Amino acid sequence: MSRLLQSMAAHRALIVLTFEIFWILVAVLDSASATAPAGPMQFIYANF
Amino acid sequence: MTWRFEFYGSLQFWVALMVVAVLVRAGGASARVKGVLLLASSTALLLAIPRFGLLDLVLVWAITGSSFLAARALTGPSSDAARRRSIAIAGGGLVLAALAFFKYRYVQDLFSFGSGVGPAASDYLFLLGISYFSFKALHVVIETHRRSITTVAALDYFNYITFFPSFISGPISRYPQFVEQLGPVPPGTLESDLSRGGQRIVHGLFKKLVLAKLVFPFTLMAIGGSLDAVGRRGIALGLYASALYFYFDFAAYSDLAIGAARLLGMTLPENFDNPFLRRNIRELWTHWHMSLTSWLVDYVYWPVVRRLRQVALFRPRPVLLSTAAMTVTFIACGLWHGEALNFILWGACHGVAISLVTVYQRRKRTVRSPALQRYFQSRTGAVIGAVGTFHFFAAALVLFLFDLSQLRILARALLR
Repeated sequence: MSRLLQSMAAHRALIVLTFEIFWILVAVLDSASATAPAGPMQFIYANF
Repeated sequence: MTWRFEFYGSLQFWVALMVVAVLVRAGGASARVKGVLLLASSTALLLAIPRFGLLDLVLVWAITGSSFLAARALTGPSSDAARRRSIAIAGGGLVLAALAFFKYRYVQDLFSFGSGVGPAASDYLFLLGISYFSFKALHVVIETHRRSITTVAALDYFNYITFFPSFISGPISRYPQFVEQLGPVPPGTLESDLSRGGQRIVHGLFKKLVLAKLVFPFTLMAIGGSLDAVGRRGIALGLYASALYFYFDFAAYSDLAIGAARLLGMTLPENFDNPFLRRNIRELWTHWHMSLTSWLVDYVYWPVVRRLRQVALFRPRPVLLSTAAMTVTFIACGLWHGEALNFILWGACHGVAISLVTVYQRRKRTVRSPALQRYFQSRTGAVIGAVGTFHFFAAALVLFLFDLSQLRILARALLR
């Protein structure tokens, strides 16, 4: 268990990136398959 | 296919970024070639933004050109203080006038000649990125007047103002740090730039496409139309969600801008550093939109402090002086977000809160109780501080999100 935790700590950046990329793909596929696709990605601060 | 696409939100943008990155890195052995390539790329990419046309580009170049002429004159050998001051006021004033005109509708109303019918929202003129490039231009004019910037070259300056990754929403870089990176791309940086830039882009996309999207349905912006129907719990949840949404959305943009710039071999300043983990509102603001807060500190807070030191009432009272200067600074911050009274109240609320924290920090140092001192240094103290700070930030958002008439509806809903 401790070796697993050590390994996870050593590869933290890679694990975080994999997790993020997985959910980004889910979000992209979700918006692509939506019947009413969302508009372009707007940023709230873009108009300041 | 038309040359129109959203920055960071379209496949075309990412393809264009890759092409620019390859070109800049391939031509990066010469500073001049790199500068020309960057300026051409920024120009072409800005023209791709759907709300940015040729006229907008001409306006940006006109503002950039006039502030450049002022900065160039200020770097000259003249030591005539009055003349230098006039040039700085003219150059800075022009930038401020453009900012006020394009940002505030009531300024544009001054120039309309009363057709008798109220103007529609589409009648108002809008210039994308006006705040951010105005702040950068003002920084250069002020610093050349102070002689802390001694040379300004046209190609460098136009690149600084129109650098496309940060053009729309920052981060607000500083001229000397930006320009020293316009030299040849250092050899052996490709791998680290690709790795770090790529990671920042993934972090940014995750915040925008996943986290911001997750919390948005719970925000008060999403339920804005029916405030009186929202109960207390809905309002509280809406405020927390709005605070998180603002963070995810804007930190995402900053990550994407920093990551994209890194692919071009440029490092932009950080803009967010876990602001909601900070133990008081003062620390939160030094870790939230950091490039703007440091700009406000340099160009609003310290000039106000210097002015107030000359006033007899403030000179012997440093706490009062600091409180007044901080409140003015955050009112300016509120005014930057919008011209309505609620933004001024929001800014004043934060300015006063930061001042109270400063007073509290001073008092803390005089506390003799060992138990209390242990608490101040403890992790528990930090957690309680962070939770309290987040609650304050979220609660103050009511002043940011709603105008006075909406605030009345909200107050009715809370008192019911």
